[in-house]
Amino acid sequence: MTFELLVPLGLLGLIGIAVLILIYVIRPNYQAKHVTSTYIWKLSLNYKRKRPPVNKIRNILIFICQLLILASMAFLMAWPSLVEQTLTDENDVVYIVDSSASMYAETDGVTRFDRALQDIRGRAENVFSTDGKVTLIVADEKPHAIEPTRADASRRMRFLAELDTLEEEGASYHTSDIEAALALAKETILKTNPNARLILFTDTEYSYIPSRVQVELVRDPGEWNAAILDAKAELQDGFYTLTVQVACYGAVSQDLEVEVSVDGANSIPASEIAGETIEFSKRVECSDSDTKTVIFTSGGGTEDENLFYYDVGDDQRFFSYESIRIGVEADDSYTIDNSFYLYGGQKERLKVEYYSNDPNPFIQTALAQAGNALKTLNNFELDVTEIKKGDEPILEGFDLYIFEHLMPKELPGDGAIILLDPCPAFGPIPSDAGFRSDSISNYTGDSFTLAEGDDFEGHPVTRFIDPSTIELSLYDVISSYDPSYDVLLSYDGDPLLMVRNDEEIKIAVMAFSVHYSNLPKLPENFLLMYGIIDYFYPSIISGNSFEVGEEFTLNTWGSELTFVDHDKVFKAEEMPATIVIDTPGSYYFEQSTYYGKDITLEVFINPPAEESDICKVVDSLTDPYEGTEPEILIRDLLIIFAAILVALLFLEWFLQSRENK
Amino acid sequence: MKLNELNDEFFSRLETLSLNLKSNLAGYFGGKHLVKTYGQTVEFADYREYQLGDDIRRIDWNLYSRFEKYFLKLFTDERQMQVQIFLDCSGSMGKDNPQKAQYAIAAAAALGFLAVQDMDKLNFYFMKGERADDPFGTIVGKNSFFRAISAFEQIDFDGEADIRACVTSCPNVSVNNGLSVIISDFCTDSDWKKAVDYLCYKKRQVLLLQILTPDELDPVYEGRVHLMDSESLDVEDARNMKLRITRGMLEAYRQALIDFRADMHAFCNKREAGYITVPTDTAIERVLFGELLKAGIMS
Repeated sequence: MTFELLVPLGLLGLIGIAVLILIYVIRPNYQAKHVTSTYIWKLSLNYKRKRPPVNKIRNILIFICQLLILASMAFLMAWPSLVEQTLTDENDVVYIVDSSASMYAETDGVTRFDRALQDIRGRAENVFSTDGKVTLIVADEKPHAIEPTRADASRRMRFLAELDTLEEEGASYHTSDIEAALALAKETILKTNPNARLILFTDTEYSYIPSRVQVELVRDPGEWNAAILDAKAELQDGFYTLTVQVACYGAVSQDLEVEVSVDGANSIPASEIAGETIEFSKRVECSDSDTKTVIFTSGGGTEDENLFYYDVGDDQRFFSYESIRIGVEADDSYTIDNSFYLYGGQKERLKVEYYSNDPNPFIQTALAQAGNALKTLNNFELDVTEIKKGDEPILEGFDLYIFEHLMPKELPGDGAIILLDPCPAFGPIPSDAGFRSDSISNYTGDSFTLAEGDDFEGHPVTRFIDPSTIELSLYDVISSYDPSYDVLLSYDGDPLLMVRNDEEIKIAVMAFSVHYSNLPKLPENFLLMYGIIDYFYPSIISGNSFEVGEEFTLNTWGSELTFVDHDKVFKAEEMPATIVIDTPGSYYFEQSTYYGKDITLEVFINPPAEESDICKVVDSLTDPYEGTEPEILIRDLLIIFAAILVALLFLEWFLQSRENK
Repeated sequence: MKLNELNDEFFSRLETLSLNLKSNLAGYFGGKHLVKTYGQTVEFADYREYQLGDDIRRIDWNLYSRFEKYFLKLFTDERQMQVQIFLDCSGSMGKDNPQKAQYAIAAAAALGFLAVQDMDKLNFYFMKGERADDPFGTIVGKNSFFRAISAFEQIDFDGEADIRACVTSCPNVSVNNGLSVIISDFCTDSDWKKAVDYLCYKKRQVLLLQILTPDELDPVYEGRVHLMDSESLDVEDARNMKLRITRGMLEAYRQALIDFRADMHAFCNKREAGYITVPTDTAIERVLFGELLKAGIMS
C-alpha cells in the first residue's frame, strides 16, 4: 500500500507556502506609533504575565500551522490516496495445456498430451519448491481452470492427483479453444497478477507469440499423420459413388493406400436377400498438408494433382449397403482419423396400405410425392400396397393404413391410420375411431373455402397449409368427436381435418372427398399427405455421420430410445432427444416402435477434420497480458486531510486568539 | 500654538473661584488669604490676656468691666501668597499632542488667574531640561498676568524635563509662603518625588496636576507596534520600544497606570500634597469646578 497523489498538479498549491513566507518576509514587523511617552509601557512590562515556555514558540507554532494548512490544502487538491496494488507474485505460474484431439498424436506410445502433463508436473514441483502458486487451465472446447494451488502439502497432492486424472482421461477429442483459455487465464489470474507467468503447452505452432507468453511445443519432429478427412456416398444412376477426402500432414511425401470395405452390399431386406462384402482400394500420393480427393465410381474420371478416381467394376458396384469402412493403412502418429464409416445405406421402409372402394389417382400421386420427400428428408421409404377394388382391407402388418370412403369395421392396431372421407353413406364408421358422422353437408353446387381449426396454429401437420386456398362443395358432417383430436381445418364449426397422436392411437381424419374439392390441383394435396405421415413418423436422425461435439437430434417412433455408447446404455425418454457425442467412433441407437417393431440406427462420430493437421501453424496468439495492469485499490484520504485541515484551522484560530490576549 | 481656550469668557467664569490655600502659610503682608496668625484686619478672631509689652490701646475695656482682667482683642490676618506653577514643557506634554499642551497651559493659566485674582504673587516656571525658566518674573495683578499668558503661545514643548532638577534648582522657592503646582504627565524617569519633598521641605503647599490624554489612559492600538517616544532623539533611542500589544499587554498597561497613579496618590497623601489626574478630554472648567474643588484647592 503506497501513498499517492492522484492529481499531482494539485501540489502547485504549495506555491502558497512560498507566498506565505514572502508575506512574512516583506510585511512590516512593527508599525511605528508615536506616543507621548513610553514610560507607562515600560512599567507595564513588569505587570505582564510571565509567559509559559510553550507560549514563546506560539509565533512559530502559528507559522507552522499556516504552513501545514497550506500544505493540507495543496494535498487536498492533489487528491491524496492510499493506493494498494493487488498481489503481483512472479512465482505465480499459469499452465495452459492444449486438450485438443491432435494432442493424441503419439511417439513411442506417449501422446503429446501425456508429454505436456509430465512437463507440467516437473515444472509445478519447481514452483512449489519456491512457494509459488500454480494454476492449470485445460484448454478443450470449453476451457476450465483447476483451482490455483499453493505449495501446502494437501493442495499439492490434490493438484498432482488432478494431473493423474487428466493423464488417465486423456485429451478431449474436440478442437481446443486456446483463445478462450487465454481469456480465462487473463480473467482469473493475470488481471490480478500481471506478473504471473503463462506457459502454453500445445502442438500448434504460432507465427507470432506475445513476448510474455511462453509456448512449449510438445510435438515430436518425427510425427506425421495420414487422415481420412471426410467421406460420403451418393446414389448415381442407381449405384453409390464414394467421395473420400484424404490428407497427409507432417510428411514430405507419402503413398497412402485408401481402402474401402462395403458390408451388406446390394442386400434387399424386403426380399430377404443378404448382402455381400465388397473391398477395393486406391493408392494416393500425398504430400504435406495437401488434401486429395478420391472418387470411387463406375467408369472413373480424369485425374489431376489433387483428384484421383477409382473405376469401380461391375462386380464392385453396390446400390445398398449396411456400412462402408474407408481407411488408410499407415503407421502414422495419429490413428483416430485413419478410418471413416458410412452408415445408412439401407433406408427404413414404411409399409403403407391404401384401401378405397374407388381408388383415385390424386391420393396415389400425393403418396408418391410424399414418399419422395420422406426418402430425402426423413430417410425412409414408403412401400405402398394398394388393395384392389372389392377386396377386403388388411388390418395388420402395415405401418400406415389409409382408408378412403369405405371404412373398415374396426381400426387396425399396429399402425397409424388415415381416414379419407369417412362418409356415412358408404358404411358405418368404426366405433373405435373416436368420432361420429351421421350426415353430409347440403350440396348446393357452390364452393366454399376452409378455415383454420382451433388447433391449426403452429401444428406440424398444417405448417405448410393455407386453408383459404382449399375449396369444398361437400363434406361429411362430424357430429361428435373425442376431445383428444386436434382440429386443424374446419368449415362453419364443422371439423374437416382432425388428427390424434398418442400412445393409444395415431389417426388422421379428413372429412371430405378430394372429388368435391380443388385439393388435387393444389400443392396442399401433397403437403397434407407429407405433413400427416411426418407427424406420425418423423425423421429419426438427420444423418449418419457427425463430428465430435456436433449436436444432433434424435426422434423415436416409439416411447423410448436407447443409445449404446461403448458398452454404456443411456435411455432418452424425452423426444426429440438432443445428443452430443464427445468421443469418435460408431454408435448404435435402438428403439422399439409403438407397434413392436425394432429399429436400429448407426452413426459414425468422426474427429474434427482440422485436428488431423497435427502440424498446424496458426498466425498469431492473442496477448492475454494486454490490458492487465495490477488492480489498484484506491483508498481516498480526502476526508482525513479535510479533517486535518479543519483541525489545523481551529488550532491556528486558537493560537491567534491566545496571541491577542 | 493657538490657545483658543484662553479668552475672556474663560477667565470670567473663573472669577467666582479662588484658591483655597492652607492657613498655616506665612505669606506676605497684604493679600486675601486668611492665615492662622493674628493680624490687623477688622475681623475679630479671639481674646487673650494682656501681657507685658502689649499695646494697651488694644485692651478690651468692656471685658475688663465684666471680669476685671485685661484682655486683648485679636483680629484675623490675611496674607499674600506666592503661587508657583511649574509647567512641564517636555516633548511628552505636547510635541505630538497639542491638545495635551493646550490643556496644560489652560490649567496653568486658570490656576495663575485664580492666584492673581487673590492678589497673590504668581510665578510661571517652564521646566525644560534641568532648568525651570521664569520668563515673566513675579506676576502681580491681572494686567501682568494677561501680558504673561499672551506669551504662552510661544512655549515650545520639546526635549526632556528633569522635574527634580528644575524644581530644586529654582532660585525663588521661598519658604512657607504659598502654593507650588507642578503640571506634568509625570511620565518621566526623573525623580519628581525629590522635587515634591523639596517643596514640602520649603513648607509650601504642593499640588500635582497630572495631565494625561485619553490615549494614555486607555490605549486602543494593538499588534506589533514600535512605540516612538515623543522625547526620543532618534529611532534607536532607548525610550522607544517594540511591543506586541495584546489584550494581556493592554491589561498590564492599565494595571501599571493604576499602580502608578496610586503610588503618586499615596506619596502625595503622606506629604499632604494635592494630586489630581486630569484627562485632556475633560473640559477644563469641569476640572476646575469639580476636581480642584473636591480636592480643596479651590473654594
